[in-house]
Amino acid sequence: MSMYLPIAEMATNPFVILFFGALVGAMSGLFGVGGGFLMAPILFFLGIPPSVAVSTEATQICAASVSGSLAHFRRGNLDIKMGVLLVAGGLIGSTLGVFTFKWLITLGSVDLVIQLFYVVFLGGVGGLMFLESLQAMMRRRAGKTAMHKRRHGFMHGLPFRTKFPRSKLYISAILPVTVGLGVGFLSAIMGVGGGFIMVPAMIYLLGMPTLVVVGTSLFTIIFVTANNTLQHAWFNGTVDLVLAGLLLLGGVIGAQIGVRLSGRFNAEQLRILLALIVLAVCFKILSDLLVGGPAIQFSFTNGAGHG
Amino acid sequence: MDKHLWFQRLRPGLTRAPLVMMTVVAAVAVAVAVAVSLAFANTARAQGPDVAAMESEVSVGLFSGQTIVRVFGSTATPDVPIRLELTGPDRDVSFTRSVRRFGIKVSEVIDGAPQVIPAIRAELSSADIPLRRDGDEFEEALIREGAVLIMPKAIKMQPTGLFFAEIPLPPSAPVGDYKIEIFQEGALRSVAKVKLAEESFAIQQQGFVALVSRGAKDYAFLYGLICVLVAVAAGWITERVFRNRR
Repeated sequence: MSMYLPIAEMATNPFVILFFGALVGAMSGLFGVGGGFLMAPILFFLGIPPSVAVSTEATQICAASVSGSLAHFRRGNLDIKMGVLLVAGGLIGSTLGVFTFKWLITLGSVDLVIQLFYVVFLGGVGGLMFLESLQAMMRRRAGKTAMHKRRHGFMHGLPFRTKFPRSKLYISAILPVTVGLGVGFLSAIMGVGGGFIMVPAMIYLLGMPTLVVVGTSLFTIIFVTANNTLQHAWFNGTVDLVLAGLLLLGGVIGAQIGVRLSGRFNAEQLRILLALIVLAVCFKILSDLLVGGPAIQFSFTNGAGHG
Repeated sequence: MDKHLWFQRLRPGLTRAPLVMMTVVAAVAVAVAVAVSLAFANTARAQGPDVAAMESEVSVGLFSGQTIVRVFGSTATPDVPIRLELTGPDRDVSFTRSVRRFGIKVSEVIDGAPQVIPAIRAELSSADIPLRRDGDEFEEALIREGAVLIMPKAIKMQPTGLFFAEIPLPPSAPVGDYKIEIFQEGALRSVAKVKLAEESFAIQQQGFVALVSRGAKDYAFLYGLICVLVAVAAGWITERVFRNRR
């Protein structure tokens, strides 16, 4: 049995997409991450054109962040002022990203650039996460607790200092806008929410309290991915509603499984496992880049089908 | 169809639930071209063999994906091999070669490669005659990826001169006009092949698939807005449904 994806212009097995959607959804329920950085590469491996995979992922992440953020909003774990500034930067960044994407499509090198971005960011984030989890585990064995030092850097000398009462911060408004800009750009190019970059940036760069970080990050991701969806559909014509529907359905099922499983595992072990999965995906993309396929390949340019 | 009407037609699915939109069947429907054509003009030029009738039928089931084109015909000279060529709609194509740059494989567009080719092509014969042109690297790439199907002995020829063939088109066969041509080879390969008949059919998208792909092209902004609405609604509904169970 197969199902036709109208924008990807190809037939696919809907159960395979549902299965992987549920698998990634379960992981995001388990690890508390968006999962876009895993789903987009899986879609590449399944033969969905990368441009369609990246754009359609934006739709799924938007839905996932809406459902994930509502609980945080009700508990008030949201710095709305910081969120608005992050969104402002994020919208500019994601629009820049969409147009860069369009430019890369005309150059014919969009697939290569997406893969390179994935190798760099998955490798970097996965490696850091792995090292940090190992250190945390060793510290715990040694009976010490982690210490965070507040450093006074160049960023405290920037203009437009603003009070953020919810985060108990007095920092330059340029900082959240810049973080939003970078996250928005990556989000549009890579088909991810950007939480894996934004959460560390909010904690270590902006110094926000952990309590409001997740809610504010999800708030930003909703608007950034909504903008990505709209602009990719409008200017690149690469959002596949049928594929998005399958991913949404799979993700919903998987997230519920993940949330139920999450109580059974140790948080540090989960982090190491996630780091290993991220590194494995990175290695797979890198090996594809290094080894390459057959000598001569072709692609039909007015119609996204075929390899 | 005007803009307003299109939006009206998509709305009901949205307001009920995205689930409704997901379960809507998305299959390529095929416009069936059943025809009986007597190829008088061609048989006049042909010396000896002729096709009495040819019929092509395309059938596609719900979700079934694969399209099978069936071709029937007859010839007065069953001992001469029959050859069939199916040609799909033209598409722009770019052939690339993997080149190692800075240690990674980079695709480089090949100069002098074909720019426009049929998105799918099939060549069938009743005998074991060589169909592929050896040494054509572009052709080999197309065969490897299934964009060109080479099927020797795929035309079943009966001693009475009746012949029958099935051409399996992949589920990803693109929409557009398809052409089927039937040739009869000369007794020797040096003799030019003679065209006996020509038939055509079209693959069209229907229903939800057609709505989505036309909407995405003609009303891109509105389509994008609908995608965002679907996402927000799906997220909100999910949270409402599962909130009490946590």
